[in-house]
Amino acid sequence: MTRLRIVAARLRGLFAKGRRERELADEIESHLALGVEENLKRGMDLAEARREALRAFGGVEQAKEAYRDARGVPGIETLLQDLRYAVRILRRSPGFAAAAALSIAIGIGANTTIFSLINAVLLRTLPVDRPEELVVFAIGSSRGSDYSFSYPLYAQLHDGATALSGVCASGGASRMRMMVSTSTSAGTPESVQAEKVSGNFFSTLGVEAELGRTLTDADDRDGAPPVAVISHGLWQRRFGRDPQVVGRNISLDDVPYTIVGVAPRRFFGFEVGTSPEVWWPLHQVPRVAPRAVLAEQGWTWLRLMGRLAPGASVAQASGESSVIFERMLAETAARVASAQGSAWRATERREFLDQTLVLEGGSTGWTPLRQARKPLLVLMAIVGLVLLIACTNVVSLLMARASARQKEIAMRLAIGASRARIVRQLLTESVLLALLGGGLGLLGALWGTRLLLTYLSDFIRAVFPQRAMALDVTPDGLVLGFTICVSVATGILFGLTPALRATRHDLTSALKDLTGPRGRGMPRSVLHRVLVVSQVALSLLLLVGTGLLVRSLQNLRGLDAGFESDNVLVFSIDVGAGYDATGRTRLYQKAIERLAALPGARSASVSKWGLLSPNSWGNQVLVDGYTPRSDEDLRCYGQIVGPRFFETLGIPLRSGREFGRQDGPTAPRVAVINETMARQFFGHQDPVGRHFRLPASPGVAFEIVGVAKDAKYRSLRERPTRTFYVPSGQQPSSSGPPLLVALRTVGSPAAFVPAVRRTLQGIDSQLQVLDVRTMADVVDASLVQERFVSHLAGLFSVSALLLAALGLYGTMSYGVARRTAEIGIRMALGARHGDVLWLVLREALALALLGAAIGLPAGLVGTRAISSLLFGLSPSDPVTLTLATAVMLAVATFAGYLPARRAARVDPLIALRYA
Amino acid sequence: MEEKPDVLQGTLALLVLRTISTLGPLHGYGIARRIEHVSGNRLALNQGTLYPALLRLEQMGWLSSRWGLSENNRKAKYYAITRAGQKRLVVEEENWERVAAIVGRFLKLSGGTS
Repeated sequence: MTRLRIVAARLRGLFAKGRRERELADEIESHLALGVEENLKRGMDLAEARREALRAFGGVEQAKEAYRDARGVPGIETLLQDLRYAVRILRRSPGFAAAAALSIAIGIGANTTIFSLINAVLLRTLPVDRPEELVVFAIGSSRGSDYSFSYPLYAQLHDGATALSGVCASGGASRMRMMVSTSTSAGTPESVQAEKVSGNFFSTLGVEAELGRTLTDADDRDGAPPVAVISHGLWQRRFGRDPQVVGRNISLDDVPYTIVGVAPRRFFGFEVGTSPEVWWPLHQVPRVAPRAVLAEQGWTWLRLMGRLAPGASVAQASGESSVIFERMLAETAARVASAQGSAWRATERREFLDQTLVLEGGSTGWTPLRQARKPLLVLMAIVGLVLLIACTNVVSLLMARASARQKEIAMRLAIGASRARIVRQLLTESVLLALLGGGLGLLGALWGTRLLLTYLSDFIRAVFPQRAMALDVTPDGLVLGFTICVSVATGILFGLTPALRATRHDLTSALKDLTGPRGRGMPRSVLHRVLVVSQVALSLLLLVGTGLLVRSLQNLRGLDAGFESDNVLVFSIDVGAGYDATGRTRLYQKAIERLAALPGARSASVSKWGLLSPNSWGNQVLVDGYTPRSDEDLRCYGQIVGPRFFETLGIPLRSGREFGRQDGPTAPRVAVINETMARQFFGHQDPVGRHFRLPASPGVAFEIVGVAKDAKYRSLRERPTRTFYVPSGQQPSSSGPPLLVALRTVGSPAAFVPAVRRTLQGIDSQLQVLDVRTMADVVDASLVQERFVSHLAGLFSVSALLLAALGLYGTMSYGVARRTAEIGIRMALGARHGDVLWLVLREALALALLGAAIGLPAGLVGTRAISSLLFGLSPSDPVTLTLATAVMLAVATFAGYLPARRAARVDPLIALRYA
Repeated sequence: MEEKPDVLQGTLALLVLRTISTLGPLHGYGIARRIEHVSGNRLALNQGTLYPALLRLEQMGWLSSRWGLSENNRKAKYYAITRAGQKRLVVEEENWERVAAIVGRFLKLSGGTS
């Protein structure tokens, strides 16, 4: 208790310092006066009385010091004192403060930007109740983790898990057409992101409705009335925060729903990076998709999340769920084996049964963006390097300044300040500088994260055009704390060395001011040189990395993708609900005809997935007359395309023909295969006329009518894969994402967009054109990750190079300033302009070369870390290394040239006068 | 002159509390002179060390202070003992006696002062 009282008293003592000082002075004065009086009474004279009183008192200043130490909190007071002093000092040299703060701002800003991103993608917990109890379900196999489950498996896990208080499922968010009906009209259609979820979705995640109620299990049953929950954002945007929104009707893809509630503001489900606006129950899905979706195990389309029951551990829940999972695996295996017989080989069966159920931590939700972990961490390392370089720069600046303050520091040491005290004060200056830079950097990071986000959105949109990405990268407490910690650490890091050095000095020579250009003064600054060399080395490292990434990008861009990407427009058509399967087929046929007939159009076609898309259809292929080896992989990818597809996309045919109108539903089944597939199954023989079958329909034989050149189907980096194409006319036109239409034009495809819209509206005014892009855009979009990483790396290398150049320039300038007298003497003794120039330049080049000598081997080792991101060149590509070194040396030469020129212009008379 | 032993910090608190308890509210000078006087000038007391000690005692809540006028009409701060201070004084006195007894016994046992 008394301790608390003391602490409180001390804290109070921090304030009203002035008054207390005066009071103490008064008290001591009256004490001494009383003493003097008593001494006078004893018979001493005035002078003696005063002396005696002072002697009896002891040291007045010491007493005051001891009093001050007991009164307030000494630590805080010295800190405040140091801060005030630091501010005064920095204000005196604004140029230096600005330069240092700016360098730090660049370094810290970059770090904070990347960290914000990492925070949003990897670290931020879900805005739900007790997120640490959540787990994500995953299936582990030799191929990695898969997060897709079927409905029957979900139902079993839901019913059977006692260690979990709830298991919920989400079918993901996708774009749907919403119409809000009012009393007067059916409303205009608009696109929203809608997520299909299980009834216990909200309760498992621990989220209460802001208005109305959330979904319950009763809503997620066959025959239940269709209800939906809308997001806070939608409520605000579309309904103007109408308090009567509960009970209103909307329709999603022409299926009516009643709104029963509004979700809380920050809630977005558990998939990070999405922001759904409507949630609707899973059991409504059969209205827009085949019934099989809820009953078949083959459809794996759900992501599962669970919450641990109170007191249960992850291990328990994992064990229980694994039992259920393995039972289902065994049942499925038995069923498939009896159906397919020998077609399902032992290796595949073993692979199937080897799958395990894994429960991962779910407090941060789930996101496919987690696959970006490696590039993100690489980025973090890169910006860490940049910060390091900025720090070394500031260290140089600080040391140059510290030498100017030598006298001041020596004086303070002489009157009795402890070295630790001065070091602490100098560190306070550095940390203040760093915090200033950090503050600027944080502001810069706000801008930077928005830029990054645009890149990421492009990436997601390119890969999943149906989904929109929304990532909350606003800095939260964690990011702020990170920035402050990094700033303080930076301040201490770059402040320590100069502080220690400055206070190490030989006092007398400092006081006698022998540190001018004359005399021994300070030894040639080895540390400065070490710093510059390390900056050069680091910059070279970054340059090499950037060079490799940029050249990879060029390689990818120049790659032969197997098709002609110029002058092709791609888009999809939102058909609406008014068409059945036959109607849809006829619609597409009509559309293709009319589009191909447009003036300036060469041809048009459709495909189910298009090229450079992650979706595809994989299947085993049984070729008539071909006996596969026992371990041979017979899997091929399938594409569904329309007539004239190859002509439209510019894929040359090696032999045979492509599809036409004659390949309709009643005609014999045909297919076109690509070169790789032809080579595998037929060697050098012509495959045209041969047949193959698919295991799902062994009675149907596909006749090969053509061989096409290999194209890139899923990404530009892939190796040639076996692929076969079947005509869209012969495949049932199932519902699902609309077919992609491709239009080859003469001249710029973008100019055709209005004509395309007009044509389609002419067929049916309800048709909407979606996702219009040119094929060139698609190719570019598939390179978004590479573009992004190389742009960033480029940005960072340029910054690093700039910083290194600044460092070199600074060191050389400082050296020239110090050696002005020496240069004057040399010139007086006959040195020419060029000699002096070379004298300085030689030093700069020596430093740069030394830096390069260290940076190159470091680069060779370091770039191995990014070898997975490269394409078409090795991490030790000599061209890149040479180019990077050349650039570095050029910049270094320029940085050294300016001070060299200044040195050469030194007037020997002036220089000698100051010697 | 024999060496005057220094006054330890802890015992200073005891002396101050005792002085004030006996004599009533006193200013700093008065306390110092009283201690010197009672100890028969056998204690080397740096009068200045009183003031931090007085501050600490005040922070602990054992003394209270107010400004007043001294004998020669000067502004002086008077310190008075609080009830908590009285209780503390008793505790300190007991402690002191106990320590003195233990040390005394120890010295006697290990040969005493010879």
